[in-house]
Amino acid sequence: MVPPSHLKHGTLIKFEVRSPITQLQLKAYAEASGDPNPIHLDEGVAKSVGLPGVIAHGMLLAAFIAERGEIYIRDELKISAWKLVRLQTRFKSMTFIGDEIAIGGIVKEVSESDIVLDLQAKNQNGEIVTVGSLRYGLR
Amino acid sequence: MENKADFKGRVGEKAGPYEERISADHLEKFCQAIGSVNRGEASPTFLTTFRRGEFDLFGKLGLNLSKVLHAEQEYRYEGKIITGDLVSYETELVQALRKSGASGAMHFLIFETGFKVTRGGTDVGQVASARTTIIART
Repeated sequence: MVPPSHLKHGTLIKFEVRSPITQLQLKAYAEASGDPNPIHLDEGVAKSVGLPGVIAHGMLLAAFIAERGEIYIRDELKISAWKLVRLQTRFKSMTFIGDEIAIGGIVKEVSESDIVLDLQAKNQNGEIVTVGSLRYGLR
Repeated sequence: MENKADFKGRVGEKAGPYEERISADHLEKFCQAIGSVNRGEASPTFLTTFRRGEFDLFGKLGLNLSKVLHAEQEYRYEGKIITGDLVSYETELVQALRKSGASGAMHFLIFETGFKVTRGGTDVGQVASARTTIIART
């Protein structure tokens, strides 16, 4: 199996905008993920450790990035035989309630055995809050 | 007073193994929380629900959870996780680096976790691994 011929280094992956982050979403994520850290739920605790307010879980942003990659591979390129083999995410800046996050990027690498996507999560000010590298292969 | 905590000597400490049975309900709740399509198998970052080893090690190291920031997360996938799977995992502190800053010490700690699956009574072996980097202030 080979990657689609139109896919090359630099191919753009459209930025898709997510609904603004809500407190309810963070609560649902804290429950579903089992992350008990109060800095994502309790304004008082967040401020007591020097944060401007409640911040979103880094892994929620990582989930947005992984989902954007899955949609690109499965639904846009329609090559679902290619599976995610490695996901690397780096949390660069904080995300707050009300932030509107967009996820997109480029195709970084294409070979017979690998497709690598470089994705970014940006907030409404254009600031990059999380970056992700997704390596797909035929596992 | 500066806190002299140093975690280099704690490298190699492990937590687990832990076991968890995967329910359709949990997979669905996770998908709903991240606004993702439920594709009938665990989404890539569902592995974050198995951080008990990390949290237990934070406790053993005496870290204050509200002063722990997640810096990087890496996952490698060799297989999938589906409803009914029994996931077994163990976490190890593999690296510790201390940096002194203006507002106290910052510790860069790296944890590794391996995930094994038993499916329908059959040992499937390792399906994924995780490498978590956190920054802890003491």
